Amino acid sequence: MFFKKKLNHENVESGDFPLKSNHPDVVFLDNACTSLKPREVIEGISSYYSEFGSCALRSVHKLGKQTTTAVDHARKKISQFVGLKKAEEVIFTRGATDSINLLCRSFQWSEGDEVIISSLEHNSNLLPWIALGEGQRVNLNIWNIDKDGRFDLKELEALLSKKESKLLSLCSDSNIIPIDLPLAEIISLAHKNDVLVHLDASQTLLHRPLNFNDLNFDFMSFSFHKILGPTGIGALCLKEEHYDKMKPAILGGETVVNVTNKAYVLSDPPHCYEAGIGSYAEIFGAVKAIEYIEKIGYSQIQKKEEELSLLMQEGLESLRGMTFLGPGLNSHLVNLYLGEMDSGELSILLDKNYNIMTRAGVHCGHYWYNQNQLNPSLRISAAFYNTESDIQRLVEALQEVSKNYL
Amino acid sequence: MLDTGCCGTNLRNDRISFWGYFTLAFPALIVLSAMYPLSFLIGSERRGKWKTIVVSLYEMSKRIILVPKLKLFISTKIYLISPVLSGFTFKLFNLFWMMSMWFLLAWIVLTIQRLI
Repeated sequence: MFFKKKLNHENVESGDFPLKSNHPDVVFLDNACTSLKPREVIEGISSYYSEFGSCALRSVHKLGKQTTTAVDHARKKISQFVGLKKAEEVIFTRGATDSINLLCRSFQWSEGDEVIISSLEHNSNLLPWIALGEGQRVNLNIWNIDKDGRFDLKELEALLSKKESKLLSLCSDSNIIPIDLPLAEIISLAHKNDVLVHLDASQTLLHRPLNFNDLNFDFMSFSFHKILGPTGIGALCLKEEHYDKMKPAILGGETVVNVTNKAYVLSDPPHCYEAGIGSYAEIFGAVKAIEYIEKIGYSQIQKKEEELSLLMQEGLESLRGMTFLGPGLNSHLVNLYLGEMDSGELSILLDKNYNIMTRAGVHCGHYWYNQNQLNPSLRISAAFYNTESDIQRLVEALQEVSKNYL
Repeated sequence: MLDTGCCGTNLRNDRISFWGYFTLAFPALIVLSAMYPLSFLIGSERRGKWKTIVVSLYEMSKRIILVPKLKLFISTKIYLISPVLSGFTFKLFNLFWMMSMWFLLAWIVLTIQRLI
């Protein structure tokens, strides 16, 4: 046994995650793509269909009212989870991509405005801004983060100090490499230059808290499927005062209070930003995901993930042919190359031969890979419900692949 | 291409052209490997260079994408019998495939010659 420490998993019951029970041989290390779902979340989704089954905000019958109350409760719960004061500061979306597109298209830009993003952004926080630049006179500036995760704050400060800069949109954690951005300093710099800050928190909230109270940013997007919740539901969270700078880009059911043949009167936010019927079942599941995270507690989650990171570090750093992308190994997320082996082939070998689920490719970070002239790589991403045995199997598998297939 | 979704596993920037390797590097690898015993006649320094070229040509063969699904299918099936044999198959698959293609080409040429 090459591991020095034993893990403590007393807060995560073995039956909490049905997928793990149904596939006991599978090691799931693709958590940066999507997380596993606790039983409560699955039951929460099911409870909407079996116990509520109605439309919120529209129907006055008792099932409709119950659904409205439950959705209002969910909005409140989410606003508290991210440190916002009012439930109205949470807009339900289909996910982080939808949230960022909504912000991008609803914000009232002026000609010549500039948006700053980092080079490490997921396509969901890059493509909407590129597209915005094509359609309107909004320019995109990209702050460079190199292949080792190094960055220059002075370069960012220079971009922020341009009078045209309007919004800084950054990931709080990357899905490609582990990176520790000094968010407090960056946000302070941005605000000093009258630049608003949007954080893409998709890769953060499964692992650590991030809230408006602590960091004073302006907008935040995330997807629930990455934080134990269902797919197809996310949120754009914002401070209430920023609604003044926005106008809904998508209109439809429940976005208006009155309509004539030439005009309409918008509902109050957040409803005017939620056109069409809501994803109620997913909202029910999302609340259960937050409750599950609160039950385990971020301190326990972080403690477990630190232990798992240490085990990965111990097991992987001495493997033949292994090279790592980014600043190093001290994270639940590791991005690597094994010799010259194709990352797709490696991922398939790990799946077929060892039942280990990983992710290969450029991880929706085409720009960063192209800019740094990097080949597609293999990403291993652990979460607090992974076990010592999972990491041991991964290390043993990579040892065998390194020995036999390189 | 590999069936690994949209996430760019096919975006390697160090791919080697199949036809380039098949027509130039592969014959060179075969000839240099077959003649390797002769390298003992030319001194250790030159023998070292010879070996480096052979190893480099062999390593290059791994960067060619050649029926990858078949390679992985065969390798993963053989893994159930022997991990070592599976690795061996995986590493030498491209060379084996190209050797087969050369034999096939040779057979076609010889057959045509015979017919003429």
